[in-house]
Amino acid sequence: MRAAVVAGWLWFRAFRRTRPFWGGLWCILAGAWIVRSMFFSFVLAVSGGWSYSSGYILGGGLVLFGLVAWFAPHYRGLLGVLAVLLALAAFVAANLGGYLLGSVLGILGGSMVWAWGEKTPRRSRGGRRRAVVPAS
Amino acid sequence: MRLTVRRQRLLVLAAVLVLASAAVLLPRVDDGAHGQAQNGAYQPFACDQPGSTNPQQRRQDVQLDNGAGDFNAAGRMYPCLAGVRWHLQSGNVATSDPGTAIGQIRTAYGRKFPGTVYYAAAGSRTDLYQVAFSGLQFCTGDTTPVGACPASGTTDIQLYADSGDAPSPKPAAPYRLTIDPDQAITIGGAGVWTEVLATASSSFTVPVAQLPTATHLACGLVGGTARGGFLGIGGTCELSAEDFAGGLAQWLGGGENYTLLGVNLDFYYLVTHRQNPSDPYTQLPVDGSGNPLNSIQLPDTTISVG
Repeated sequence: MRAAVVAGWLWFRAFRRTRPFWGGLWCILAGAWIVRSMFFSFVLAVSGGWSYSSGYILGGGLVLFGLVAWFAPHYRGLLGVLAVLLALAAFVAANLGGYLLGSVLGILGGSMVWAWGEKTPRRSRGGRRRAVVPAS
Repeated sequence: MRLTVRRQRLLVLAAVLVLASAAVLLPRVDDGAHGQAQNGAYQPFACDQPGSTNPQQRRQDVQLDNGAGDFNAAGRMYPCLAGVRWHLQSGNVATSDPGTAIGQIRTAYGRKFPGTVYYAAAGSRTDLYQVAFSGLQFCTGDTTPVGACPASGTTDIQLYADSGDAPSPKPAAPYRLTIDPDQAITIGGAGVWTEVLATASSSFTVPVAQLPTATHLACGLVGGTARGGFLGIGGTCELSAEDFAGGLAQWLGGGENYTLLGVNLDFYYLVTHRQNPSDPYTQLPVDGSGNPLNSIQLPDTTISVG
């Protein structure tokens, strides 16, 4: 049991460290929140000509790009820029981008996806990192 | 788990394609109804001017509220507007006494009607407001469910239309069509939504205590007229259709229930429809029958022309 948990954790850690995991996750959460905010029975509803469709398209697009960023990290630059653009468009067209929260999360997530760089694999436990000698 | 660069490229292309397709293909929910605007098969009579080749040329496009304050989401109606003004009055809109309830208006939203409203024969105007509500009920109490208004409710209800208010050519002798209910009336009901195209000065008066902050500040902020009370607390607030449809009014009370102290409504069109209809022309009422749910109840009513 313990071995399975450890193996699962190691798999997740490797998964997380080899792709823009956190940026993608913020994008997914931002998209889900923007779609969710279309159902609020708030007294304040702000939307453009797209009306109901806009929240589903922009929110769904953010979820989609968040997921694709996980599985296609090679194209993180393009995906990050598209996610930021979707989050900005949601602010105009879909209830202020889920009452601001969704847009802010989407911009943050898209920026993190865009700026992500793959980390070097961590050494196994007990191994020693190579000392970095400052140039004199 | 790592895809090859080629598969990653295909994945990204597919995602972009899905997004672009959704943006193009997902229809607005009222597109189905929109196609019936100029279709004579759905309209009981022609609505045009002499010389026109389009029999529905003057039919007005009215987007309906979806029941949650979104006037762009739901279906549409296409009335042929005569241009005759109806007047509904009850209670006293200028009262300062918040205790003189005559009924209630439930879940009300408003907006400035976009574009021009055309009359069938001639004329148009651009200054009408659209007010939507789930119920307008004339009972002395404000706790009775819509549709169960007791006969003991207020009977001080004036509902009439003057021929003199109609566009030219006017009749030589003016006359008034009066609908005079002997008992309290109800407009609306469960699952039914009512909308009117009213003038900017149409107003209703509610207790200040029902507004946010329960002070005159909320009333004055949206342009309403506060009366009575003490030190800005209590009293009444008269809200015109123009006040109620303003940008701040959404904060003030879009979707709220109000106790009515007085109502003074001048309107050119009144329609009841199912809440959030995708197509009000073909959609059956909530109960699935052909019964229009008694959406306007006028018990023991005398209709007269004089």
